[in-house]
Amino acid sequence: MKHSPVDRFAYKKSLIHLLPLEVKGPLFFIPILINSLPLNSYFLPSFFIIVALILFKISDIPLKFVLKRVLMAFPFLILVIFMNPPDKAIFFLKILSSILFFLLFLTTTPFLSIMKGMEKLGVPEVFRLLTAFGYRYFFLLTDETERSIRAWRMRGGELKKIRFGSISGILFSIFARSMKRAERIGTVMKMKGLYEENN
Amino acid sequence: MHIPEGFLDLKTLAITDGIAGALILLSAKKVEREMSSDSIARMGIATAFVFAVNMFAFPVAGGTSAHLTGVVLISAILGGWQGFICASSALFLQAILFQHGGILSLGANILNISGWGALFGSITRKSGRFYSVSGGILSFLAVMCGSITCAFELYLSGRGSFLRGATAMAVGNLFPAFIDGVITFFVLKLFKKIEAQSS
Repeated sequence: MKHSPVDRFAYKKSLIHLLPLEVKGPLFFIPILINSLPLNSYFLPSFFIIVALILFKISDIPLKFVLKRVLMAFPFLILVIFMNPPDKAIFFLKILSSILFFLLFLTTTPFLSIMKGMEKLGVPEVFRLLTAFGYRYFFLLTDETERSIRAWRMRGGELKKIRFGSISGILFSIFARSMKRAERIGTVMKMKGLYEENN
Repeated sequence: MHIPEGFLDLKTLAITDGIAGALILLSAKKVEREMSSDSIARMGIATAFVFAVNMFAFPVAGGTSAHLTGVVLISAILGGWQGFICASSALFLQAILFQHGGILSLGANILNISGWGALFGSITRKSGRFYSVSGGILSFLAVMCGSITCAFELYLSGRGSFLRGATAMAVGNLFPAFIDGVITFFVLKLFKKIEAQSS
């Protein structure tokens, strides 16, 4: 698997990147909160979109990447359109500007800073630990999944034809191997004296 | 079913984030009581597993794709509270790394995906000899209940008719839910088989 670091734009040195998290967080989430208020105006969301695009330019984040990420919300938007929301145009602008500010925050903030921010906000330690574990082992498990699928294909398997037994077999073997790995990690953690039994 | 940023209004965000926050604190307390190196490693890997299998999408009818959510599965194996906190941190990772969902809408996504999944997973855990069958059925139901809750949250935010939203969400998620149920059934069946062999 080709790994592309998910926070690859977060380590640039632009003015936006250098803003401390305490400033950046509220600054970028305030427009999203304003959008969630029942204000029926074209002006504010349009203004937010322009500001977000300017900030993306300053941050040197490629607009192609931004567009790709914005488009990811569209399948959900189509489902919501079925609900026949009132003021569809304003609703669309609000969603677009909210997603842009959310992306702006994520693309200019390294994962580690977000973790530190979570600690300052008082997020429980278990939740933070699991998030860190998830981030650490996600790529490894994705690689294993890809390897298992490749091996299965070489044995004549086809993803286009759904065979629940085979897919479940692959997933189970990944799960079983993951649990084996967890045992090893647990032993290493114990040897380092981390999180010894409380009782 | 991941609600992106900007789709919910302030009132719904406050309610869902409040409830999800309280549930996270409660589950963290429950989990911390029995926290050890082994349990942390197991839950951490389970988080990465949920995160990774969510990316393992295979094509289904009409050009759409389906994937295993894995919440009922890990809750049935590790326990309800453990499954809840693992799936919630996986959802957080999906939001910050791949923008599947949002940060402010994380509470709603936690309730829709982790909440129902962990609840039904803990019921599965207690279902004795019907373990894998109930796991499959409840996994299907967890996705369907999550879709309807999602439509309700959008309705609460004034995004249109609940009935239309629930229908669109339920129909849109029917096939993925079915696949989730069948795969959960097979994986749990394999899990039971291996467990019986090793004991």
